[in-house]
Amino acid sequence: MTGATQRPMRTVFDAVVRGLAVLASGLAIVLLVGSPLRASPPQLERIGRDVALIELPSLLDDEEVRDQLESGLTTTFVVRLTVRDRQGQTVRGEGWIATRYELWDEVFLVGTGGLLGAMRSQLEDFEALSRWWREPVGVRLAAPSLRREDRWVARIEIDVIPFSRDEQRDAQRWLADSLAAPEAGATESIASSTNEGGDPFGNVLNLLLATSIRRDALLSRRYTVELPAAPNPPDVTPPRENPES
Amino acid sequence: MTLRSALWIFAALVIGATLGFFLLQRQLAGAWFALGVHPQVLAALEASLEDQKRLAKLDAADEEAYRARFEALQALSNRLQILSHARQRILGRFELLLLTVSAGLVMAGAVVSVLRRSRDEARLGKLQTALTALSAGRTDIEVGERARDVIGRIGRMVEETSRRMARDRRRLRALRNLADWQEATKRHAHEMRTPLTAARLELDRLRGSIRQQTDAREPLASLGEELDRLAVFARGFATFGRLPRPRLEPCDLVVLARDLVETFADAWPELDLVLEVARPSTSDADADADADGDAAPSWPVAVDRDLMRQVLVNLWDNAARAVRDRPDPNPEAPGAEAVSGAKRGRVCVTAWTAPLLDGVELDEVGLDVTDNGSGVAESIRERLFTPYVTAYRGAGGSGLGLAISKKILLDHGGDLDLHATGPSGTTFRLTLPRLTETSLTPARRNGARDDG
Repeated sequence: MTGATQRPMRTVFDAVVRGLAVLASGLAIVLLVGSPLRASPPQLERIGRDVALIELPSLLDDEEVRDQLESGLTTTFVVRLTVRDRQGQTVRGEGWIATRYELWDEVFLVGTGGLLGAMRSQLEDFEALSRWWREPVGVRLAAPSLRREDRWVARIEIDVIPFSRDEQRDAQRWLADSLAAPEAGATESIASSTNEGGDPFGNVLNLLLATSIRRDALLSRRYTVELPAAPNPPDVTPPRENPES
Repeated sequence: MTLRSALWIFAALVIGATLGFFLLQRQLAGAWFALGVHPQVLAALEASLEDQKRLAKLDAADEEAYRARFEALQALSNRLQILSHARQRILGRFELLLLTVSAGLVMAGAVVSVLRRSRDEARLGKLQTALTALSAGRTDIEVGERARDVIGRIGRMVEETSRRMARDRRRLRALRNLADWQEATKRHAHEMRTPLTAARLELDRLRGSIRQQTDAREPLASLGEELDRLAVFARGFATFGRLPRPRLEPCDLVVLARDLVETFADAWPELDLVLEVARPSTSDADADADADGDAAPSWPVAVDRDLMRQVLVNLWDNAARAVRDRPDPNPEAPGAEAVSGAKRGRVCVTAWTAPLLDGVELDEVGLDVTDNGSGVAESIRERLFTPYVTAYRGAGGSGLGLAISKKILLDHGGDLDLHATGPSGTTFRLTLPRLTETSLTPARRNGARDDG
């Protein structure tokens, strides 16, 4: 091979390498920008033997979450809190926030439960919902079994579920009935559509298809927060975000 | 192809077919699903919701109706949105179900096919063994195939071939045996003729010379009778030894038998001759034929009419002797109730055709000649067709009739057998080849009768 033919090949090779480098840089930037680091993390505080969740992460700023909130379906934020000391002792707690935009009245209906306490509220618009979201939660998770003198590690998992169980069942029933008798409409229950007449094999297939509708999380966030030992003055260590999703 | 390679091929087919089906249906199902939850559909629903709200404001009187319609639309919108959320999972489940069902079906088909193939290979192995035995000359082959498929049919053909080989060997042996006998008797007849003629001339001369001696008349008469008997015997030798070759002519066996039965109906006063025609059970063409043979010929054969008449006359003559030999009419004999008056016996001539083998018509037809006589003594059954073996030695039987008849049938390409015998009667079976377009060759058709 002559030098004249080697030169163009090297040029091509360099161009490919440069292209790959640009692509990798772009990908890294996209990942960085798109990561949960840009969202404000939850705020935790250690109070005696309790862990207090005082601020939720700013998930409402996410465009996908906002579209979901205004869809008319019930959006549920499931918050799971797991706290562990250095000995491996663990306590867990779970709460949820369910919100649905009432399309006719154009208001947000909000309800909470579990760790977050039972509450129902009606908010006039998204701004009001955002304000409500930023208010201190002040929820405490009792952790009497953990060693007070240890540093604790709290893990917060938040899943955004796009629809409620009732809406899931309704959609399953409607899909099964539509598959069984597309022209008849979906007015019967899954059981009735699968038990009464027709092809048993086909009904089983319809049921299997309908039950494939699951409440998978639209969005998931994972945070790990270290809490210093108790003798120290109560302070809130800035959480170390550890996006894992 | 071994079972292992067949399995590999089936596995490749299963995988290929399943993947092909999977990819095709994925495109199709995905497109239909996308159509159902198309963003424009959702946008249209959203617009409709807004419209209901506006209408309710404009027409407050019907607000409830608009509200109800709004809620129904919202429910539909919610469901479509949920389907849209679960789209990948639903399609995944759908694909999994299709994949499972189609793979299961293909696998089941492959398993059935492999099982069938291995079973057929085993059957073919048996067939191969049978054919090997057949080619080695064995004639007692039993394949044991009862299936109606090709292998089963071939198996039955092999069995039939072995049976026919055995039959042909028997016939060949009988033919050789009779030919040997024929040659010997021809020589004996030739050797006897000259001295017998000379003895007859000498006896006539002696009669003339001692005409006056009355005491010599009786011994001379007795000597003459013995010479006559010897002459008859020699003529029998000559007849058997110079049995002509059959001159074949196409005819219908049933028609021929009916003609002969009518001709000889009164030849034996003690016999009632009857013709019956056995309808073939599985041949539609033959079943449609008239039992009397008036329809199109159903039993086409090529026979020498004179020789066939000789055979039947021999058999009927034997039957008459058997009936005479019987002490009294056997009331349990077949057809005994039909025997009336002076007719002590009944001879039934039954025309038959060979049963079909897997729908293929076999090339044999024949006549069963059944009498209700005393039956054939067990001591001579095995040698019944051997020349000079007779149960009626003192009653004019030369012992050549059945041998001649068998020889005639063998010369026709058929056979004569003792089909059944017992105290209630005897059945002789005449078998003849069915006439086909190719069975009557020009040489046979035009062959002159060989009297030598």
